[in-house]
Order: sequence, then C-alpha cells, then structure tokens
Amino acid sequence: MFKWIHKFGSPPFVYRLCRALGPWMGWSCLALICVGLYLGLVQAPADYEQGESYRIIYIHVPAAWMSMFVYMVMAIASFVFLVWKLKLADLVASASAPIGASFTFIALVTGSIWGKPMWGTWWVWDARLTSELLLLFLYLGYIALRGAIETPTMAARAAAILAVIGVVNIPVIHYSVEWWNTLHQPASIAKFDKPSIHISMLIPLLLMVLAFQLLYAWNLMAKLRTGILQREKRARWVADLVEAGRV
Amino acid sequence: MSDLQEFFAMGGYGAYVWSAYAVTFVVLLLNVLYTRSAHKRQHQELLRDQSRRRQSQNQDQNQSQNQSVNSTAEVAGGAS
Repeated sequence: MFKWIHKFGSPPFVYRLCRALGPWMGWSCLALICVGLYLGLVQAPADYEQGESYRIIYIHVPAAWMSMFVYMVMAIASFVFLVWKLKLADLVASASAPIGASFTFIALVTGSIWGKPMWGTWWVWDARLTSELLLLFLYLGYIALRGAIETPTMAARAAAILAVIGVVNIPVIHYSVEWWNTLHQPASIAKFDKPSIHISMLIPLLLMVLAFQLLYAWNLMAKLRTGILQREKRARWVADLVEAGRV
Repeated sequence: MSDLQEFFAMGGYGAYVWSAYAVTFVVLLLNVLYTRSAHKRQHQELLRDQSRRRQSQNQDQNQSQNQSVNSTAEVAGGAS
C-alpha cells in the first residue's frame, strides 16, 4: 500500500502516467462536448420561463462548478505542499491556477451575458456574483504572487499560504444563494432527491460537467509533464527520454 | 424561416447565447494551446541541452585522442 502511494511522489512514474492518460482524457473530453452540446442546444426543449436564453446554462453551470472544484484541488495541493513539502503537490497547485482562473472568468462572463436579457442588467453587486469575482481575484493573486517573488521556494510557499487562506471563500460562494437574498437563482440540481430540472436538460448538463472535468484533468496532466521536465532536466531518466524521442 | 436560421436565432436570444459560447470556447482553446506551446518550448530546451552535451563529449574525446597521438609521437621521437 505504502509502496503504491510512494509511486505518486516519483516524478518518472507520474510523468509516464500523465503521458499515458493524457490523450484519453483529451479525446473523451472532445466527444463529451460534442454529445453534450448536441443534446443541450438541439434536443433539449426551451425553458418555459426563460425561452432559449437558458441554454447558456450548459456552459455557465459547469464552468462555475469547475471554478470551485479547481480551487479546492489547488488549496488541498497547497496544504499538502506546506505540510509534507511534496514538490509535485506544488506543481499540481501552480498548474491548476490558470485553468481555474479561466473557468471563473467564463462563469462570470457567461453569467453576465445571461443576466442582461433575464435580469435586465449585466452585473449586480450581490453575494453570489461578488464572491465569485473574489474567487477570480484569488486566482489572479496566486499567479501574480508566484511571479513577483524571485526565489522559487519562497514564491511557492507564499502562494500556497494564500491558496489555503482563500479557501474560506468557497463555502461563501456555495451558500450565498441561501444565506443572502440574491438575484441569482438557487441551485437547479443540487437537490438530488428531486432536481428542479427536467431529465432532458439534466443529462446534457451533467455531460458538460464531465467534459469540463476531463478538460481540466487533461490540461493538468499536460502541465505536470512540462513542470516535471523542467524540474528534473538534469536527471538521467529525462536525458534517456529525450534520447529515445519519447518526451 | 428555415430550421437552421431558427436554431441560430435562439428565439431572439441568439446574440447572447452564441457570444457566451464563443467566449467560453475561445478561453478554453487558449488554455490548451498555451499548455501545448509551453511543453514544446521545454522539449526544445531539453534538445538543445542534449546537443550541447554531445558536442562537449565529442570535444573531450577529440582532445584525448589528440593527446594520445602526441604522446605516441613523443615516444616514437624519443626512441629514434
């Protein structure tokens, strides 16, 4: 068991794992996006209240979920890095930040585009929107902090501390629609006993969530490979890989 | 109105729906492309390092060969 866990701290093993799984993630992500968009944009019926405009949900909700999910991965990896000094955990955290920021940006922009015809405004300073904007600033702050500190180990530690502290924002985002009176509609599918969304809309939504998860996993693995090569560039096994043309 | 036109019109919300989708996929595509180019850059750096290593190895070998040639010449000269 311990041997098995130890493998995940070994750069050559993680490198090979990422290289083996990466293409599968990429292709299945693409396939899921095609099926999900076809079902969501063509097959699913229009919403009785919001008409066709609700179809933004198929990218808005997955992006918003991913913005929080990726942050949790980043915060947990940062915690692991701070406590156990595992360099790969720092790589996971730093590789997650740009794609997490992208998902947050997408959630904010698509929400804004959805809000204009439905609420009559691009933006309101309510709890859900403001806490999601704060999440974007946390991501950007993390990236900026890493870039601003010259000593790599210092930069990694400072950014990891920021990521761990920022995690308090996640429950605020999640419960904001319940704690405060906001313009944002409550969750459509959190209630698994009886989702307030029809099955023909639920299936494409879940497919898109899965597709975004795979996109993140794919992107993360590709970045881990690059990061490992950079950190291990003087290692024998990297030289062997380059020699064999298997980078 | 044809089916396709109707599809793109999105019941009058076409501009909103399609711009949301466009922003999403452009941002995601940029992520994929940036990651790919970063990996390529790293790969190229490794290839440069490798060719540099090979060159210095060749130089070392050439030098040691020259030295051995010189030393045999000296030995031959000393013998005559």
